Amino acid sequence: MASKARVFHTHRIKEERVLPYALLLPSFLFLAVFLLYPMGRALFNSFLNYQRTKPKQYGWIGLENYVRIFTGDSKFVTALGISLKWVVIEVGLQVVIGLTAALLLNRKFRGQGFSRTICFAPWAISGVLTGILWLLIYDDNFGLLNNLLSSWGVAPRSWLGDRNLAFGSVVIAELWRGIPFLAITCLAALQSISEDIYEAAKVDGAGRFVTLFRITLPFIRESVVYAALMRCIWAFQSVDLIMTMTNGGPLGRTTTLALYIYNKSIVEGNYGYGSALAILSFLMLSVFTIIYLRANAFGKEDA
Amino acid sequence: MSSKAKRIAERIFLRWLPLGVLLAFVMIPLLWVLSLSFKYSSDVVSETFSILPNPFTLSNYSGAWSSGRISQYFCNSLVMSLCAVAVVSVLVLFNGYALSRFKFRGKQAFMVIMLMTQMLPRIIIISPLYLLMRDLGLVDRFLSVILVEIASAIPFQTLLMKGFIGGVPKEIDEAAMIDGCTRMQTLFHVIMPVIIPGIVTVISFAFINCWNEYLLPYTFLSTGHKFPISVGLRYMITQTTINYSGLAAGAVIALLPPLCLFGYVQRYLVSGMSAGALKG
Amino acid sequence: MKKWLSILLSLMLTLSFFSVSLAEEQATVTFWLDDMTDARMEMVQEIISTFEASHPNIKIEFTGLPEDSTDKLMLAFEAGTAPDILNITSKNIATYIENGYVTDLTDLYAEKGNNAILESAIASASAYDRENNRLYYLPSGCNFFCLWARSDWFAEKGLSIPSTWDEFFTDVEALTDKEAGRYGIALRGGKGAATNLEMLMYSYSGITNYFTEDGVCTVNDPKHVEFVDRYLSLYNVCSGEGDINYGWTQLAGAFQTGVAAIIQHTPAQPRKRHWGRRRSWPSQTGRPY
Repeated sequence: MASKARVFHTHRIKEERVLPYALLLPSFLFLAVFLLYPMGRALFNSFLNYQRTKPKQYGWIGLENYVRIFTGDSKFVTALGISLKWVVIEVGLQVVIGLTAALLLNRKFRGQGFSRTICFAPWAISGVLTGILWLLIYDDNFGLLNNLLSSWGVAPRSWLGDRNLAFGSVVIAELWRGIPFLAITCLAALQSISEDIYEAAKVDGAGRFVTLFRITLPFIRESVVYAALMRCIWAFQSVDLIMTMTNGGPLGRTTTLALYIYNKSIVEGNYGYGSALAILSFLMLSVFTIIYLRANAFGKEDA
Repeated sequence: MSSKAKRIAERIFLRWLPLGVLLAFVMIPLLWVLSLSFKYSSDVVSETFSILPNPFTLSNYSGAWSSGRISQYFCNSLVMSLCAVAVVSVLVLFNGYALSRFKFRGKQAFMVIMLMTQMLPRIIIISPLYLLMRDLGLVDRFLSVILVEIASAIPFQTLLMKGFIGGVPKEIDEAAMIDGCTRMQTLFHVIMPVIIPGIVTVISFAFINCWNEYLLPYTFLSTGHKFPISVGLRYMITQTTINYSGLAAGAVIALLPPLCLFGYVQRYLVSGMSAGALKG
Repeated sequence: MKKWLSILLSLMLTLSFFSVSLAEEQATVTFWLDDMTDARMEMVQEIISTFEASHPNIKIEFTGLPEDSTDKLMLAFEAGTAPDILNITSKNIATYIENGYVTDLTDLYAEKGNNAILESAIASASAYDRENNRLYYLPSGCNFFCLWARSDWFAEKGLSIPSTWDEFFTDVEALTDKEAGRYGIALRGGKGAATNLEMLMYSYSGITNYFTEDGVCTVNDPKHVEFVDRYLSLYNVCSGEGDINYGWTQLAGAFQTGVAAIIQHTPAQPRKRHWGRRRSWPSQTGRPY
């Protein structure tokens, strides 16, 4: 009897030690082969003079691409600035509105299912189509917005052509697309809060806002923090909407770093330089992530 | 009396008004797409502007479907998305469980690696990926697209799942294990039922991302009838014309599966699961 | 329409080359065309069926790609999975030749071509090979620049369609009426706008070579500078503010919605008539440069 228990016990310990690795192995293989390896090659490419239009000049040039970025490329700095503006505004707005949407959609009411499905819809439309859709809303001459405005007697504006309005216009389009993501994530996270907690709070006499800030939000904190982080990383890299709507915009006002990388690599065909830019973008995002996670104290095990 | 009025006012300002604004903001572009899809393409860009289609026509839908290819693209999308999502769901469940319930060396490293993979723009790694697929003999095969979609979906969905499983109290695990369950049994029989909302979320997001994926199938596939609907719709956008109304109709058709999927599963986004488990 | 007929012609020519060299063996030929639409797909499928019917030993695998697929093609070439026949846009020809991706067609064309294509076109195609002047591709069509004008608006103001550049500038100014929401012109902006501007500027100056006999580039000729100043000063004065982003579709949109009196561009797809309805279009005339 005792030996059987001991066998079971050792089996248990082995399971504890081996299981996590076994569980993670398939994913790790996927990531290593299909993501890490190409990233390594991209790093390698960044040290090459690899241009589509100049095949005879292919060769190792070391850090020359990087040096060029830091010394000769003013567009890089502008693009970076616009990217930062883009990410901060977008994610900030999306978190606030997404969270609000989740809270609103959490209560049971007539048409809850319908509302939730509708709120999910913008995410379900692909990036390029969303771009075209908003083009049709913003277009100066046959767009929805200008025609509505002029029928109400308001002067129409060039939403995508006016250098001061273009950025804001694209922000709104991306916001429309991005809300569902945060909304659904927060909504799902809210489901893990059981009714008992709300009841207890009510019994204790907690008002609506106190419940919100002291109880609800801390509960879903981890999910929101991670969702916001992922959103930041994705927003930093997103090109499809901007490319379709303004393609970098009037006077480069909407050229984010991601679009700049796209233009350099695919349009101009300078893969080496584009890879170098991408690697720099990667490093910046890594630093940001580290700081972000430290600030949210997720470096350690949760209590 | 005043407290009832207060409650009604609260209801309006804190619930119905914001909800109305939100829904309006979301719905207006959607309704606009719908309206466009019922217009003749020459009416979209014309001197007279009208919100409602006037005249109304179903020709965009019948044209799209009868040209024969949209149905093919639709099936291709379905196959690729469902395969990818099936695999992702299982893998991500494992990952979330491992990362939230176990202490082991390399846990931090794994999370860092996962995040790192998201930080390089897709455009840059497409070229090495294509060469890799050639070496693996997967050129112009669905499998190449599915494999990369799985790899791309894992990091984020794992983080989501980790959060969801993390929200389930550890006592449940311990109770189950005392009763004699192995770790895997605990995962499948005890934890999984509790995190249905999480699984629903993961499936929804993963499906949407795969359904709308354009760059991967466009680069990896080179046979016309293998393209998914995201690529198929792109035929309507050329350098010289954009068939707005046809595109709108196509967009509506492409929108239906994810929307129906979500419409069905969103009912599982309800609370009360954890409570039951604790009490029992 | 004309453009596509010429593509069909050169297609048949190319395919016939293959049929000659592959006389009796069973062969499969991969064929990619980019920037395809549904309508074009049907046309190409027709050619292919006709060809396959007359050459039963050759099978053509055709793929239509949805957009300008330069990067996809370059990747395919690098990986060795490129198609046998493809179309190339003029901006990429030099790259393909440099990279050695395309075969020399000079002899084949001389043998089997039957002089089906204009000599001058063949000459300019060969010019892309700067070193040896060999023919690497068959030209499939050309485009010409047009000026589209609202003749009804011109008639209203008692003006005639401009036939000189000076008339052009005065007319544009005269037709601009911001209160009524009318602009004299819609300018081509956005991606590819520089090509437009360049063509217009050379038309203004009348210079026909990029380089003088001494090898000096003519782009900065004072006439060109003058034109660019004049033309671009129309922006936001005689044209709308959004023009800076306008591709062809928005340009056409401005014209069709009755906002711009004049647009200048290469003619794109002819207007498609939709089934069973009649519409009256505002009167338009086109005049080639």
